[in-house]
Amino acid sequence: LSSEMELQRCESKVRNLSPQAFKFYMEQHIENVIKSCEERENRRMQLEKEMKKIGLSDKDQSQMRKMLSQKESNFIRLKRAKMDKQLFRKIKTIG
Amino acid sequence: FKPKKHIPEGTHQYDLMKHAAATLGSGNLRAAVMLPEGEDLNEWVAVNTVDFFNQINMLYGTITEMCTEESCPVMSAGPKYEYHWADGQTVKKPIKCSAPKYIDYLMTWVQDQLDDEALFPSKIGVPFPKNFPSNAKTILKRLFRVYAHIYHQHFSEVVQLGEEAHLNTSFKHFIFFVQEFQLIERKELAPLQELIDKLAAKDR
Ligand SMILES: [Zn+2]
Repeated sequence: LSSEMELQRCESKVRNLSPQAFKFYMEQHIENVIKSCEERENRRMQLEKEMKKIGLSDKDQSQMRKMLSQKESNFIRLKRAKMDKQLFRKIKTIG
Repeated sequence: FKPKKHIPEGTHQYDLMKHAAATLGSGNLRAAVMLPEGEDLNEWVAVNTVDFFNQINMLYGTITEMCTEESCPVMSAGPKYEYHWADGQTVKKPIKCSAPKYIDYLMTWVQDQLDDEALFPSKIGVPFPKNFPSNAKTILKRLFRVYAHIYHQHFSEVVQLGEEAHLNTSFKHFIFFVQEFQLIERKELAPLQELIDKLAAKDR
């Protein structure tokens, strides 16, 4: 980043962006939204399948489900923190 | 796509409706906005709010040069809706200002909220504050106004830049999300109600 751009960053939250960068981002992003939704559902189904296979007790099953949910939840929290800070740096190099 | 008969060709409304048909070829967005099983609602709203903020920030970034003091001396969404800025904290009395000023205030305010660890905790295990749901609703309500301004005042520029399908997809994702969890009151959505109905109908 040039110092001029850094300065602009400090002054305003709104920055100039090339339409190409926005379009590229949106195309990738919407694909990822759909994909991560499917993948999350798959992980859940996979766990159910495996728990059934080894005949886990109800109590253990609910504990396993909780563990997976917690892991997924932590993942989106970290993703949110990262999204916030790195996005514009990344976009600048694309655009 | 056939436009509704009662919308005369060449009008702004007609343009909006014609181009509302264009979205990015995507999978099931309705399913993608739903709360995943076992997920905390606040966590889900938080990650999506940051996501929408980023999308809107980038989108507006592509038209900032066309949204000026001269082109948009007031922050509006069509002739019927005008917005005055107040954040309820530092600015209590609403200020009438240009769209670029308003949007700058708005985005700065949202960014400050997102950066506030007490409101949007980023560390694992830190709970959300009690006022998180109402705070998130205020953020989303304000972000909607940027979409409303762009659709009403800058749609032809968006079409010129060839990004109408991207805008529509971003807005559709946003609307599906706020509908799913009833995060914005219907009267706030009025400036884009027709478009919302259109986008929603297409996906049924
Ligand atoms: Zn404008």
